[in-house]
Amino acid sequence: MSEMPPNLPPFMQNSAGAPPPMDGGGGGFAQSMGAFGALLKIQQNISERFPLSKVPWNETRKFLKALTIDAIKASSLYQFHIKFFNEMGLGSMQLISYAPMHYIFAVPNNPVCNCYPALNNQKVCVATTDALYRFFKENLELDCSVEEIECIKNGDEVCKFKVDLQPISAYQVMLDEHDKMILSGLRPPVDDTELMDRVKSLTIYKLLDNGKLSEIGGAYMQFANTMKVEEKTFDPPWKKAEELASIAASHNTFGSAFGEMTKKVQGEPSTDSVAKPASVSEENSKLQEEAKSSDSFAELMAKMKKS
Amino acid sequence: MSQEQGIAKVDLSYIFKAVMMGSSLYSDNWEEGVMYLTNMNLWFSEGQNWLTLPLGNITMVGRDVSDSIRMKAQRSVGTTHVLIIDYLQSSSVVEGATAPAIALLAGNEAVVHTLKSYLQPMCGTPPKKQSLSDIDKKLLYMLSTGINDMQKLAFFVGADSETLTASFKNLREQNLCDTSGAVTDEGRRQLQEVM
Repeated sequence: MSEMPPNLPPFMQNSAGAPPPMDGGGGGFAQSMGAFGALLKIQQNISERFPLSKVPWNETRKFLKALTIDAIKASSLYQFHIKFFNEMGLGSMQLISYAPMHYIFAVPNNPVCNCYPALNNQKVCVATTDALYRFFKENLELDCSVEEIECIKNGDEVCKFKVDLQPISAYQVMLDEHDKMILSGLRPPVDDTELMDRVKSLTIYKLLDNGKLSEIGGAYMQFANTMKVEEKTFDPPWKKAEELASIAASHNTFGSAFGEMTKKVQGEPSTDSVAKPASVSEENSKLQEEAKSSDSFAELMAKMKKS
Repeated sequence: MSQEQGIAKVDLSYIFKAVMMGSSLYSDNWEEGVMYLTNMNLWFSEGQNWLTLPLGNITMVGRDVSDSIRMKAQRSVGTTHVLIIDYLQSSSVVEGATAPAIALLAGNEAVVHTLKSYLQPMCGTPPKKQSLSDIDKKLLYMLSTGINDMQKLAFFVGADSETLTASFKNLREQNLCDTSGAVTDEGRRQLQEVM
């Protein structure tokens, strides 16, 4: 381990012995740190909020069984996802294309692109790609692959991300006991309308073919019967926000609503207790100011945490 | 890009030249110091000197970090957040030739992810979209249930045939399954561990 910090690296030393500006463009280290710092802020939001935002399977099931873009957009999970990504500084994401287990999301005016001022003619949104992967994999328990297929930095109008779910993982989350009964040739205790809806979903997902178990369905059931996975039940991360909104709507005065809201949130640590981060653009100027008086990112991060 | 311009300075732990055998790490000489990211190089402080890693020599950023490496980093430097950078260095054996090497960076989760997000586009290395080790596990599960039809396996695992073939090769090389896809005793033991 090094005990003493070395002198400035050679690239920072000019012939007169004083370090030149870090970015060589007159803006100094602070400006360079602004772009890097904005990305760092996004990553901090992700690190802090992702572990607190796990979604129960019963909500993911509704999302997976929504079979049109409009139905998906109406689902609580989709609305949470879009709001959540926006709050983290990843821009205003929206679903623009859908096929079962395949989704394409677009982000107009993607703020992540602004974090790479020196890069052009290439796709740069690794942070969004990773965040989508982590959201589906860690928060929804859906294995997937994610790829950025278009990027503003590459000359495209918007950034687009393709998410492909791994079928075995999607089936594991999507199929409840009633679906498994249908696949096993049994009638579940549901009415005819619900039965027809379930058969339709299972057919679209290739598990049934003309009302009978498909080859894929048969292979999946062979797998599922061997690999029992227990479903965990818990409240979705947006539940408290919805309860608070409902309290606000049902009270005539701010005082009475506030009193009941206080009761609701007191002593209950939750995802909503994490402060909503300011937008990246607002953070940028603040970060640059702080960066001017910081020697390293460790120091800058310590300041950011305090604030 | 004729002039070297600084982009970031971070405090990290790192191994500039890590020695790996398979997915295990055999180096444990973590340095704690400063790293500069510029538009041309990574600069690592080493004692009173500096080591540089030209961005042009980087061949991959952010490949999968095995659990054993994470555990080793946790014990040595107190974090499981590790970034692996593959690069080419001058060969010490043949003049003018290059040899593959890897650097490991460990630190705060947000810093490590930010570096990855920055370096991947800068170095032109495509982000890894899906973890091969996850595919290996899924494939091993499927094989253990007796499904060995490649078309069905490819559909379930959601991987193209090239990726699936690579995963199957991995499993065979680790003696987790045989050439017919039958899971070995070692494969069953590992499945029980991960489940």
